[in-house]
Parts: sequence; structure tokens; C-alpha cells
Amino acid sequence: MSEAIPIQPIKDRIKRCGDPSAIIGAADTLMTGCQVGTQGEALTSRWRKLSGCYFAPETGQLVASITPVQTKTEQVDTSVAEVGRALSDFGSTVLILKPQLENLLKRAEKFNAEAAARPTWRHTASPVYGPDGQPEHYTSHDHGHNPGDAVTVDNSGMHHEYSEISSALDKCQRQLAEAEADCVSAIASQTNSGLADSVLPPGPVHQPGQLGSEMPGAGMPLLSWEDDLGLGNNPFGKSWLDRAPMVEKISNGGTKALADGLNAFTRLVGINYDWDPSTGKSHWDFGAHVAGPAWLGLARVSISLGLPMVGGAAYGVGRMTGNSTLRKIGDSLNPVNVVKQSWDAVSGKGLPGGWGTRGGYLAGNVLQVAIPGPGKAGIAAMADKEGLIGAMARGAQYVGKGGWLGTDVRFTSKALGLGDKFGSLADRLPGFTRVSDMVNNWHLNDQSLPRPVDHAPLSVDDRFGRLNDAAATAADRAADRNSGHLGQLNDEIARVRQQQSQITTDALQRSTELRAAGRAQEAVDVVSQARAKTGALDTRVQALTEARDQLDGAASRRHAAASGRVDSGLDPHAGSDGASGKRGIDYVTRDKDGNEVVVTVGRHEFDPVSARQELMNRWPDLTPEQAGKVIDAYGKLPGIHDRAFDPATAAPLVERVNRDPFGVDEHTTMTKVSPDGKAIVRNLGDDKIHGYVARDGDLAAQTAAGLRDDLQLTYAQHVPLSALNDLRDLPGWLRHRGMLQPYRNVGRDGITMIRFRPHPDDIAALRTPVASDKLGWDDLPAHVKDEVQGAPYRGTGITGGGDLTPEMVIPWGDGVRYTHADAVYRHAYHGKAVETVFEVYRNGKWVTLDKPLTYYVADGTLVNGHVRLPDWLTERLGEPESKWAGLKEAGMDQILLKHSPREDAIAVQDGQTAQDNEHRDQEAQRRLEEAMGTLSQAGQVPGRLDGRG
Amino acid sequence: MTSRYDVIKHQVAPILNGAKRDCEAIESAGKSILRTVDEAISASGEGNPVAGALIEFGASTTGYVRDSLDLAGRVVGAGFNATNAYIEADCHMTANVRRALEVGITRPIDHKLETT
Repeated sequence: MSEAIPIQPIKDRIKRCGDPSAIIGAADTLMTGCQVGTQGEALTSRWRKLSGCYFAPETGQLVASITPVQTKTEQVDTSVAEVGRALSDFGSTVLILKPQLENLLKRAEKFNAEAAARPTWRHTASPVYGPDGQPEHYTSHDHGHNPGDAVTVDNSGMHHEYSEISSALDKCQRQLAEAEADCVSAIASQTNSGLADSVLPPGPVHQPGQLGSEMPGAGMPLLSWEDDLGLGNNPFGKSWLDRAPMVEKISNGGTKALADGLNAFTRLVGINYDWDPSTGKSHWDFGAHVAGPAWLGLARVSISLGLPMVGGAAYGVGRMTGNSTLRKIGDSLNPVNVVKQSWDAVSGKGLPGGWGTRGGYLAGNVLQVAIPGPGKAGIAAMADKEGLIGAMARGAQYVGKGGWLGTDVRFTSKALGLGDKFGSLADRLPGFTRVSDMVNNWHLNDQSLPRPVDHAPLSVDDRFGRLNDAAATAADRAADRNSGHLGQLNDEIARVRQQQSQITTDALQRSTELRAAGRAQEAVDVVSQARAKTGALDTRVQALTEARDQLDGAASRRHAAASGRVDSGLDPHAGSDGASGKRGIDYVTRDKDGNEVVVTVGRHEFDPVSARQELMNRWPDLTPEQAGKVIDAYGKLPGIHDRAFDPATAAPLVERVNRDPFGVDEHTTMTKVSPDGKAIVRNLGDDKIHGYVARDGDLAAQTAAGLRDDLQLTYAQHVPLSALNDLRDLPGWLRHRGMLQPYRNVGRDGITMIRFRPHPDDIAALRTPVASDKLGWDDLPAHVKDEVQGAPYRGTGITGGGDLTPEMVIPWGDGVRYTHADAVYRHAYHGKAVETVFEVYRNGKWVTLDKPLTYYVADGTLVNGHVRLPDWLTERLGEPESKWAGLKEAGMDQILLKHSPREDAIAVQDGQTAQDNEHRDQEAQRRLEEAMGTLSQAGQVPGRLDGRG
Repeated sequence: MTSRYDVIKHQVAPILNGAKRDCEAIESAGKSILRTVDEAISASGEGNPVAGALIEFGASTTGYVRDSLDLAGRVVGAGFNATNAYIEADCHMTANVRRALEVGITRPIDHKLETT
């Protein structure tokens, strides 16, 4: 038995007890204050709402992908709460035991002090030692003892104390150990319990206190792609490791072009090289945010834009890489194979040559790179590795069964970062951009998405809707016309039935009377005559009924015919009505203010885009065989795509596609619109114009604000272009200063226009604005191209605003001369367009009008202020302030102000449909007359339908 | 009528931005937990096996939270990216994209859980 109680272990134990109050406090916080799960649930709940507004093929995947977050955060909450409870129990135990320990420590220290004074305390009775260390002895003063006896004391108290302290210490320590063990066990049970299904790669876990940069995986390469890539050749036939000297070259001040080229291709393997030529600083950037968009873009190129351009894309890649196989693919005559082979190219299958069998491995590796690793957030549109691969596979499936996964190639080219090379090559492919625009609309097929889309002009559905509205209007009109006849017919049928009934009643009564009088034969005759009359009336009723049905069906036939015409579409190059040669369909609609306006919808706006859009709408329902036929048919559409694509033949193709002036001739009035006072569009000379123009008729019903929106003339989003325009306009301003300036009434609420008739020799210079180097494209700096490629210049021939307006472009450097022109300022007046003509071009020169002429654009026609306005217009506009002076002198009476006629140009009034309807109307009328005539001749019914004859 | 841009601006973007805030809240809550665990470790007393267990648990929880955040970050980032692509493919960096950027559809969010 030791002589003293060990103190240090007690102190150590107390120290290990820590601060129980703080433990309990922390435990409470953990038990009650953990919000990770709550927040995770909030995130999940919020995220799921995306399904109500985010419509895309990946929506379900995107929404579902958040679920593990909730699971994991709930796990965190559960675990933390469990740990909190364990800590709380532990803290409560310690809270009790720690003071006991401290008390025991004091007692032990006291005991030890006493024990030190009594080395023999372990004996039941022990001598008392004096200061000299010798046992003391009793003296005479001591009672109960004999003097001289050694003095002894009873040690039972110390024994007891020793036992008590020791026991209490043991108990305390045991309880503490048990509490600790329980707590540790509880904590351990919540540790690493969910990491088995972690989405993170295995590795050392983060330690509390570590900074992000110290976290496991920080700084580690995501993949060993370098070794893999180093084994093979890049598409240029060189080792990927060759990039090192290239980097060196660039870092040493190599050309920007080299950097761009390197950047463009290295992005595909998740490498981005940022080099700032102004500072010479550079850095490499690795990971998903680089490779993801590039590969996603490439996948989309091959999948979704495969129809006309993937051959060209493959060809382009083939040219760039010198890969003859790709070039052959590009030259392939079978578009289905083109799609498939190009997909194979992207997925790395079956491509001998530069990419070799490494292609697939490379693609796979790139995909892995593209998958976000620790600390890397996001890859375009896909939530995880399976998502991306799944999306690509799904894309392949879509191709296989005629599906469609869309994006715009210009986005793709931007994503690819191939810019001048791949991107512009792709952009030059015939028919390319039209397809991309169709693709753009694929998600519009979701009926649950609100529409129309104000910034996406190709809302063909909306167009169809409007046409159908027009058709319905026509049908209503037909029904109105027929309703009078129908009413008469129905009345007449009823009247004849009544007449039949009356004849029968009268005959029966007369017959009864005759029989009562014994005149049986007469009674029989009366009934027979009545029967003959009613029989004749039956014939009439039948005729009337047929006539009524004929008329009744007319309205629905009109509607059906109109719908059929809308749906089937006519030859885009023959005009909307085929027979009359009239292009476009005028129909009445209402503007935002409820004013009735006439809008022209031209056939050119529907074809070829609409035909293909229609195909696209049906795309998901097609079988692979049908899809193949569609693809084949698509390739045969005129002027769009010659699959035997070759640079030598491409130019004329591009030229052809780009020269579709929408039937414009020298008699067509065109308009060049500029925003806010930027009316100097004659900057190539006094008699030339260039830039984007539209047919005046297409713009006629628009207010200034409407035009500015629809043509997206607010160049604020195109700052570089705007600045460029300013520079280009400057010579024009200078040249015409004093003649065109100052513009009268030019304000922020108006636009300026040049309305002109193109010179017949220059018609060919009008082109649809398909993005192309034929349009002076190469003259634009890259950053401007980026801007120009966006709306409103969609490269489709349709402007980018809310209302679809066909537009053409006159290339810079060429220009179109005009024979007649007016400089016009259009502004808004009570919601209507008001135009002020301030300059006219006649006889080869511009004349500034001393007194500008103001017109109102009402229902598609210009109304001069001196012409008596319809009352409703006067009411709406008030008295116009217009000036007529100088009209004759300026030759204004010759100004071409033709606008589409209205009302009568309702959709169904065209071609065969109208003839058919007219024929049916005539036939119905003929049958009606015939029925009436038959009855009249029989003398059995009145000659007039109204019964008054 | 509602345009697609409006849908994105008024319906998709608020969700994405809210989700981003939720991620930040998760991160914040995670940090809070780890701070509390750190406090508990300190309070547990030197050499206490509970402290050791808590350290491991903190590391584990860090993993959990980081896991959650990483996944959430990917998903939300994917949403942002998808929407970006959605818009960009549609508008070609038009004003709408710029406006979309203004309303907060920007870049993928990058989550880092630090326990400082």
C-alpha cells in the first residue's frame, strides 16, 4: 500500500474533464442549432421548383440531381444532433464528476500532507514522532498513559479517509471513463457513416482548421491526362507534350494567333491558356469549366446541328487536322451517315488516322476532365458525370431515332473557341444558320412554355397562330355571309313542314266530314291529293335541307382550306398565293393599344424555315426510317445545302443562299431604318445605300418605338458595332452636313428612315443577312463579330425583334443605288406612326424640303394631312399638323407609297382556295335556286323563299 | 405574354439565385457546426478521447458538408451553366444575356468550406 494518494493523475483527470459547461453549451448548439439539413431541404425544395419553369431535355435530370444534397444534409443534421446528445450526456456527467474530482483532489492533498507527517499511519497505532525524529513519550501531563511510554495515536481515521478518497476517485474515474467511452462511441458511430456513397473521390479527409488550400486534393491534378495524352498524338499529329515549346514560344512573346490556335484546341482537353499580349502575363487553366463547354459544344455540333452542317463541320475539322477520313465524312452523300459518323468522330469511335484509337480514350478522358472535381463547380447543363455522358448518349439516341438536341452553332463555335477557324467555316455553310435557328426553337415546342418569345423571332407557332386567326376570321366572315341564307332556308324548311302539317290536318278533317256525309270516294280523293302535296313538299324540304347543309359547310370548308394552306405551305419561291403572284398575306390584327392594324405575313417568312420547323415539331415522333427520309428530304430543299460540299463549290452556293432578295425588284419600296437621328445612311455616296434594309410594306404598320424594338435598333447592346458605325457614319455626316442636318423633329422617340426603290442593276446586291464573309464579314474585328453574330443579326433573313420582319442586307463596299428615295423621320403620335418627309431624292439628286411633309401611317397606308381622314382616325389623332407645300415641286406626287391593300386580302382570298370556295358558294346557290325553281314550277309552293311572293 | 427571357428572369433566375443562397446557407451552417465542434473539442479537455472522436467527427462532417456543398454546387452550378447556355444559345450575347447577367445569372458558383 502506498503511503500517499497520487495527486498528478487526479490533476490530469480533471484537466481531461475540460469545461463541461462549454461542452454542454456546444452540445446544445449541435442538438438544436444545426441548420445544414434545413438549408439542404430548403435548397432541394427550391430547386424542384425549376421543373415548373425550366424546360429542357435535362430538366428532370437537373431537378432530380439535387436530391442527394438533401439526403446528405439531413445525414449531417442527424449525425450532428446525435453527437450533440452524446456530448450533452458526457458534459452533464463531467459537470457532476469534475467538482467531485476537484474536491477529491483537495482531500487527497490534505490527506497526503497528514500522511507525510505520519509515516506510520498505516499502523493501527503509531508513535508520535518529535521534531528530532524520535518517538515522543508521555509525560506526567498526559492522561491515561504512563509517563515514559511512547506516545501513539490511533490511525483508523486516516485509513478511512484514504479508503474513501481512493474509492471516490475510482468511482469518479470509472464514471468518467464510461461517459467518455459512451460519448466516443456515439460520436464514432456518426463519423464516416455516410462517406461510403460520397460523390467525392476517396482520399484524406479534411481536418478542422485546415484552410481550403490545405484541403485534401487541393493542388492535386484532377487526372493523369498528361501521361495518357503524351502517349498519343494530337489531331495535328504531334505529341501533346509538344505544347511545352509552344507555351514557351507564346510566353516569349509569340503571336496571338498561335495562342488562339493552341487555346482553341487545348480547350477540348480541358486546358485553357490565357495570355494577355498587353502585359505578357499568362497562365494555364485546367478543368471542367474549360473543357465542359467546349465538349458540350462539340457534342452539340455533331448531334444537334448534324443535318446540314455536320458534314461541313467534319470537313472543317478534317481540313484543320489534315484528316482525310473526316474530309470524306464531310463529303459523304448520306446525311444520316454523316450524322452518325460525325457522332462517332466526337465520341472517338472508328476514326482511324490522327486521332486513331486514342480518340475514344481521349474523349473519355476529356469527359473525365470535364467532370467537376473537388472544388470545381458545374459543367454546362449537366449535373454529374453520368449526366454529361448520358446527355451525349441521349444525343446519339436522338440522332438515331430522329430526335433533336439543340443549340446554336454560333454558341457552339464560341464555346469551342475556334472562332475564325471552325466557327466561321461553320457559319459559312449554306443553310447553316437557318438550321441553327430551327434548333433554337426546339424548346419552344414545349406547350407549357409561355409564348411568344419576344426576343426569338422565329416563333413560327405564333405565326401559324396568327395565320390561323386570319383563317378563322375569314371563316367567320363566310359564316356571316351565309347566315342570312341559312336563316332563310331554315325558316323556309320550318314553314314547309308547317304547311305539310296543315295540309294533312285539313285533309283529314275534310275527309272525316265527307265520310260522315256518305261521300267516301271524295274523302279518299282529298287524302290522296293531300298526300301528293305533302310529298311534293317533302321534295322541297329535301332540296332546302341540302342547300342549307351546303351553305352551312362553307364556313368550315373555308377554315379548313385556310388551315390546310397554312399548314401545307406553298412554294417559297412562288409567292404566297401561287396564282396571283402576290407575296405575303395581309390580315387585320390589333396592336397593344387595341388599335386595328394590318400586318403582312409573307410566305417567305415561313419557308423554308417554317417547313423545317414543322418537321422539327414532329421530329420526336418519327421512326428512324422516317427521320432518315426527312433528313434526306431536307438536304434536297432548294438552294440550301449541297452535301458534296467543297470549297470550290461552296462559294457559289453561299452566294446563292445569300442572294435571296425575297422577290424584291426595282419597283419594291425598301426602307433603311436607323435609330435616333442616325439617318446618315447614304455614306457610300449620294445615291447609294447599304446595311440592313427591309421592305417598306413590312414596316408600314409599325410605330417608331415598335420598329426600334422589332429591328432591335437600340444599339446599346452592341457598343463596339455602334462605335464602329459612328466612325463609318462620320464621313457621311461630314459629306452631307448642311444638307441633312439639322433634322427636324428628331428626338429620342423617333427613328429616321431612308425609303427607297433600288436601282434595277443593283438588285442582286441585296442579300439575306446570312452570316458570311461575303458580307464583308472578314473586315470586322473579332470582337465586333462576336457582337454582330447576336441579335438582331440572326443571319436568317428575319429580324431579331418581337415581330418578325424579313430583312436584307446590302454589303459594305458594294451598296445599292436607288432611283427614288425619301428621307423620313417617323415618330409616335398617340400610338400611331407619324412620318415627316424632309428630303427627297429625285432625278439623281437630293432635295431638302423647306417645309417637311407629315403623314400618318394608318392601317398600312400613308395618309397625308390634307386628305380628309376617316372620322375615327381624326378622332383618334386630332387635327394633324401637316404641310403640303412643296409637294409638286419636289415630285412628291410620284413618291411610291404603295402599301398592301387590306381587308380583302384575307388569307383565304388567294388562289385555288378562293376559287374553290366561290365555286362551292355558287354550287350551293345553284342548288338552292334549282330547288326553288322545281317547286315554283310545280306551283305547289310560293316562289319566294320568304314566303311573301 | 411572357417571354422566355421573362421566364428566366422572373422564374428561373430567382430559383437559381435562391439556390445559390441556400448553398451559402448550407456552407454557413456547416461552418457553424464545425466551429461548434471545435469549441466542443476545446472544451473537452486535453487528452480526452472525446476530443479525438470529435476531431474525427469534425473531419467527417466537413466531408459531409463539403460533399453536400460540392454536389449542391455542381447541381446549382449546372443550373446556372445550363441557363447561361440556354440563354446564350438563344440570344447570342444579346442584351437579354446582359440583362440576365445583371439579374444574377453569372458564373458557376465555387464553394469552399473553410473552418477558420
